[in-house]
Amino acid sequence: MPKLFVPSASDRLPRITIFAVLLFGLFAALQWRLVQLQVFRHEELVARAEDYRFTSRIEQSWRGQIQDRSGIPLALTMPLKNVYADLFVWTNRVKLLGPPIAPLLGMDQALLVEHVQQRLSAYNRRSARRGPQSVLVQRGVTPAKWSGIKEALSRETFGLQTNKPSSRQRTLLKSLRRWSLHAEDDQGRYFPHGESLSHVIGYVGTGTNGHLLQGKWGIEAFWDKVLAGQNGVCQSSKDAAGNELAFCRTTNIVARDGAHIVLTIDLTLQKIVERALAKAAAHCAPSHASCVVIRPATGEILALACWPSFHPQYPAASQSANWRNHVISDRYEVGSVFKVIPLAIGLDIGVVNLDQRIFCENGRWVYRNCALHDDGHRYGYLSVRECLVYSSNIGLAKIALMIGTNELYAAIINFGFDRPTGVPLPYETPGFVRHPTNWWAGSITRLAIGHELAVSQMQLAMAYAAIANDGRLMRPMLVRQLNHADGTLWGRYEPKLVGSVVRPSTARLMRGVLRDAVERGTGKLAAMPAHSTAGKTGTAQKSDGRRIIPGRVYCSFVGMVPAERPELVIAVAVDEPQTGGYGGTVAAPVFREIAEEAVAHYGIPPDKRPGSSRQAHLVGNAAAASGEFAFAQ
Amino acid sequence: MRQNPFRPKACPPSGELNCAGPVKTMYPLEDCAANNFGSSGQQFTHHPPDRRFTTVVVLVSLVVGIMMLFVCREIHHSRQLHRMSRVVAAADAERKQWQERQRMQLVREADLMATIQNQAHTPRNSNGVTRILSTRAR
Repeated sequence: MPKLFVPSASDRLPRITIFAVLLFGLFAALQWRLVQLQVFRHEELVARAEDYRFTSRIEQSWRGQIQDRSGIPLALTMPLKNVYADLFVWTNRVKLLGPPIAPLLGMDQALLVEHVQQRLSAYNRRSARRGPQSVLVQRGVTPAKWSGIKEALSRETFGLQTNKPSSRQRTLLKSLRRWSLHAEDDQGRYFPHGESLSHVIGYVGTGTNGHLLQGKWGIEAFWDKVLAGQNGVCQSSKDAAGNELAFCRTTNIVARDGAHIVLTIDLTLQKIVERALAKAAAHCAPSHASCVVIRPATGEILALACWPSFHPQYPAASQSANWRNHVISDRYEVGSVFKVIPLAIGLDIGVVNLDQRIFCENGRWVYRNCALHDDGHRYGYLSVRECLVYSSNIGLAKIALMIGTNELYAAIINFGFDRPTGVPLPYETPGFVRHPTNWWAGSITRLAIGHELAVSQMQLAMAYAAIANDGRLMRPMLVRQLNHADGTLWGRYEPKLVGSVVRPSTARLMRGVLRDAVERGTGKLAAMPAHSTAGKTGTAQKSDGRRIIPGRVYCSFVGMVPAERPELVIAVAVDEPQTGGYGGTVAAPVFREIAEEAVAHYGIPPDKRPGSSRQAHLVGNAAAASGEFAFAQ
Repeated sequence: MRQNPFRPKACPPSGELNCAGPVKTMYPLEDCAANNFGSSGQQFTHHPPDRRFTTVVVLVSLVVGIMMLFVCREIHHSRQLHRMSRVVAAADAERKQWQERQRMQLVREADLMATIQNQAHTPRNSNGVTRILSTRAR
């Protein structure tokens, strides 16, 4: 009987040790892998798992409308589609898909094929094929057009045999019809009135803040957050095919659509103003022209226009200089139109009265070694009233000297020429007024005639509106109210009083002087046949910083109608008219044209009749007292 | 200590040599089985193997059946979920289409209004006579 080998305990030990070590090693490796998966790659793997299981979708809010004071939409959002080609489907089939699909999109066939092939080659170069698997082939397709494309695609055969197709061909045809093109939702901004009010409305661009559209200019930019609303979020599980399981939603925040902004702008008046500016531009070919119409009692901006304009739908088609809102963003040495301010202060603090006579030095006066001229006129003695009516520089300079440096500076600040008016639009200039410590000895005489300071047209219009409003300076209102997306009222803006700049009696006196300036003075071309008008012309020569450039002038006219109880303040500026001229010859006629149509539009009754001016005034005042014409709604 | 009903204390298991009393070496289990009957011959704790098997099978079937019920219920629930989700998705799509149509209608209306607005205004002579120029004036 053979002797069996029975290993002793000492023989078994190394094997057990080896086995134990191997087992330990195995477990250690397993442990290490677990640590690797559970600790080091935890986040990544959890994200991948969640990506397979869950879906998160941002529900885009709908951008609100911009409306005029009557509710006429000026800017609204329309649904659009961006059409994509699926690269996975188009691979090796560009020649097959291109010819039938290009006509559906209204594209050139060669262009489409080239575009897709470029993207395909880039897509194939990527080893992992990560990144977008679709290529945008057309942007901004209307829903109706997209429905048409889908319908046409569902009938398309793509050159495949359709009589007795094999099951493979059927599947391919179905896939091509379903997946060769797909669309994603987009939004487009539509401006039904074209270039009208473009400087106020502004324009939008592609959103970088999570929204599809983002305001870039004007109201669109300044009120972007209000207009954009708030996006919604929807998180839920999805099935194996990637379809959302709506009943497994974990988060469902509904999008809040943007608010509608109702402006104080009256579109009819706006178009009147734009037509008048375009007409003036055609006549005198200025570098630009601008106009703002304000309702003095409330500070509401009824119209604001600049020429040249741009189309907010296609802003890039115009020069960026055309986007500029000259009314609020430009500041000028405005010249004589500013003379109203020192005179109002002089009357208000009582250093002068309207009948006081001032010697105007026969047209040339040297003050502190610097000569001041009356632009060719040789005025001797003029009353204070006549100084403004005939726009005497020397007369106003002497009035300013009577007022004194500190009082004049305080008045200029009080009228708000050193700060933005607060109009809710971007890029408003604050104006430029130097502190008296930086004035030279003769500065006061130059400030009195609108030099050595720079103000915006809006600041000037608001100052005139204060005079028209019995000395009460209002904050300009551009937004009348905000409405919720469903049209219900969210909030209404009320007129805001900034301060009282002159006494009501002074304002009344000033209106009388300004009326004389139109009827007898430099603003005769602004006079209306049936309505009394008050206003002041301004012609400022432009300089390059050292000397005056001949022929380059800034012509302006700011006026109010009716003169007794002004309902409208209209500021017109024409910059560098090629035909030359003055504020009285270039800007005043534009004022008259706008004012005539505006009073007709609002039904403001005539207050001036030949032979019975007193009675006419009473008629006008009674009408004004009985209601607010067509403003009230 | 709890007594094992299959192994009464009086009868030691087969092979145990330290059982008190005389050891019957041949058929200890039969003896034990015989001892399990009382004086009247009635069975009191022990079940026959076929019945035990039946009980186990029934129990296991019950458990499997309940589990299958739950699985079927889950499948049914999942199908319901998918069906309802499809209904919701369809409703969402319909709502979206309706909104799109409404918004396009708004755009068309605004376009029409702009056309009317442009036609409403006609220039006039400035002869001092005011007249209505647009739909808003009175």
